[in-house]
Amino acid sequence: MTEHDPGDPDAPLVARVGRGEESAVRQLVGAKLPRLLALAARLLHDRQEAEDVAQEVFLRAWRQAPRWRTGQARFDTWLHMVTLNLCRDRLRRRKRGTLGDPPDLPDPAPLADAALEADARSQAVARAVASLPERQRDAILLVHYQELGNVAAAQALGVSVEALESLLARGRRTLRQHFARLEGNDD
Amino acid sequence: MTDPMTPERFALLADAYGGIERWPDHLQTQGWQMEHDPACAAHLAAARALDVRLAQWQAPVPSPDLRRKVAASYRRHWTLRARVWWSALGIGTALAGATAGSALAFALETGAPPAGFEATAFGEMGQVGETGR
Repeated sequence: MTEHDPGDPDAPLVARVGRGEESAVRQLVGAKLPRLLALAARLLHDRQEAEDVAQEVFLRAWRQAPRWRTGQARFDTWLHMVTLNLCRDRLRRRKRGTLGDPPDLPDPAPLADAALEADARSQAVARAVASLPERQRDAILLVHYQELGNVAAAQALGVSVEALESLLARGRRTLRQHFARLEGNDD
Repeated sequence: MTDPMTPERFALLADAYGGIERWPDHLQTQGWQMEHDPACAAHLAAARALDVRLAQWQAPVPSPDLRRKVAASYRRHWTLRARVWWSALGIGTALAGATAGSALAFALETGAPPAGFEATAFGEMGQVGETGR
């Protein structure tokens, strides 16, 4: 019998995936793909690479599902850890120059004014978060954007909850100062 | 046991997590009780302003094609695994057959049965045939 952690809401679904139930596969993809793609895209700033990472994460999930036993981490936390690690590998390879810079993709269609403004605001936040030290950036991505609980986020980053809160507070403080400066320049 | 909520603790939580609705569940009730405290309200307003700003970062939504690809990768993964498993079984069977064939050839050449050969059903059948003659 499969051991389910009563605290892991994904455990029954993962067990069904492990038994080869196609409806469970579709359900898991529907539930997790948007979140994992968002995390990868926010780390890599490149949609194609983010899609590659998301596909790789799911290949690992398929391998893991039949033998998944909830131990220290929930399945969702494990997926986030795999995504983070794959993205970090790519970012390191980019730094060493073996992967090249993310391509400048042309806009598929001209954007309306409102959409252009939204895009500019989105890019500004993306740049600000990307400029944070790596661990502060990852803490904010996991807690603010992925909405992981503090225990799960701390596990994914391999730190204590106290250390996570310190990373979050420092990261958010830097961001507040950054945006305050931007607004000061706008005036 | 949860530490009592003080304006200092409130500020630390708002700095780390943002608006009270983003705090760990077990701390939210205490947070809501202090949200109008003047010292807390200023911190909360700053934290909420940052939450609003961070929410402007849009993330891509998976295309139907990507959803299909990812779901299809499950079937491909298990088909490939099954193929590898059956190939391994085939190789194993072939090796076992080759070993048995070599042993038989050795026995026919030397006239001596390989170890354990007399224990087979064929040996027993031979004896039955002789006594029945």
